[in-house]
Amino acid sequence: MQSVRIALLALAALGVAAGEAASEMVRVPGGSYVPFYPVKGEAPTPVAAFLLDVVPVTNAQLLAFVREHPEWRRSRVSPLFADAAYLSHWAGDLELGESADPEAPATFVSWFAADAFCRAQGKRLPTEAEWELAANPALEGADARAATEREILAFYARPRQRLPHVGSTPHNAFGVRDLHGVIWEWILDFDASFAAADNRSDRDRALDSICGGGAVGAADAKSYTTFMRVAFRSSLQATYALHHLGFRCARSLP
Amino acid sequence: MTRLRLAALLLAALSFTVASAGSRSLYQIEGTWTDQNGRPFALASLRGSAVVLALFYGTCDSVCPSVVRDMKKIEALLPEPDRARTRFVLVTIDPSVDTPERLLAYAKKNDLDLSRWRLLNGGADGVRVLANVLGIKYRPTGTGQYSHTIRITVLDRDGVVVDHADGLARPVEPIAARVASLLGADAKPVK
Repeated sequence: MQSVRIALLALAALGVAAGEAASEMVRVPGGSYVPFYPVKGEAPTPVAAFLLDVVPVTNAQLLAFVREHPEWRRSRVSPLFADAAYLSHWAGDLELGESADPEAPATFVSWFAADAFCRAQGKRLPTEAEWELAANPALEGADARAATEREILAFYARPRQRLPHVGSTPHNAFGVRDLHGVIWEWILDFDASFAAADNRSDRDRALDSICGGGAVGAADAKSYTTFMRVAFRSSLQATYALHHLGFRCARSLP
Repeated sequence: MTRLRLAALLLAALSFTVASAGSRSLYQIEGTWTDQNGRPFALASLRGSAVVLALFYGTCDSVCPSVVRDMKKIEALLPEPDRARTRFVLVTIDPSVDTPERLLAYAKKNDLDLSRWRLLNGGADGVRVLANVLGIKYRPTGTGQYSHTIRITVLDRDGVVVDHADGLARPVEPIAARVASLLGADAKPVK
């Protein structure tokens, strides 16, 4: 009995060690970010250089996390923090099964779970400004941007049942992979891009974008795919767990 | 032995009840919270009171003052025993600026009775999680001001959201009635 228990413990420790293998991060240079829907007179946000995971968090990594943090298991998570679809593609609380490849991006994960995962690693979710800067390296030039735009549009058009392993797309100019063309990703301030919020607020960007003509106020009206990201993020609630919505973590530089 | 097993079963059942009652409770939100006196504040210490809660920030000059006014109207509408058993909670979305000193000054300037009002700072992480639980969106506009959802939320005595009212042009009487219903003699007891 005792030896079985020890073996189990050893196995669990192994599993944790394997799953917790620290994700590789790269340094993304800082810059200046103009929100897609700037409030009148809003200045560009300065963004400091930061570290970003090269690839999204995988099912295997998330499994290691929920093993260690039982409150994030599918059967135990509070409805306050995740909707009913949370990890619904896993075979069980601690079993990935056929529909969740260990090396594929973790999806069906709520903002709260993604936030908790990153914090448990001493990291955090990237901000919208950071994510957009990392995803749009200006140094790639207009041709590369057009190519990226085409790739994203193809991603939208492609019905996909199974997600590929992380790292299936080439590094971009900053050394980051899979920012486009595989999944949507949670960001720290996903709620910040509210383009047509359900409220009347103090200096609300919604005021400038409440009708169709609001598009005129967009910072880069040519970027259809940026429109799509803003629209998608605006539609999210933090409890949502969706098929193609995953995440990666970031860290501030000291 | 049997008695022990029974006791264990009872305990298990009890803890299950507590867990399920807390499953939608805001009081499971973690983080480090501080009140207007600079003292550590546990959200769960609000358990047992009805709570009227809003997000705000101290330098907000257009919308927040009217939200605070509305909360004071709700306070005034409550009959005395209910008023004393209700907490009015303002949580700052500008945690780096709204220090306890500033929150206390804000309370004094707005004549908030600190036996019932709590002005809280949960840091950037705390308020972000709370806002996401409440479905409140906010963002800095880069000028020291914020865009944010205008929402007054009512929590029952377990910390579960039972009602909210959005915007500025809406009556406060229904909110006061909802609060009173949580505290009346026939209100369900706190688990």
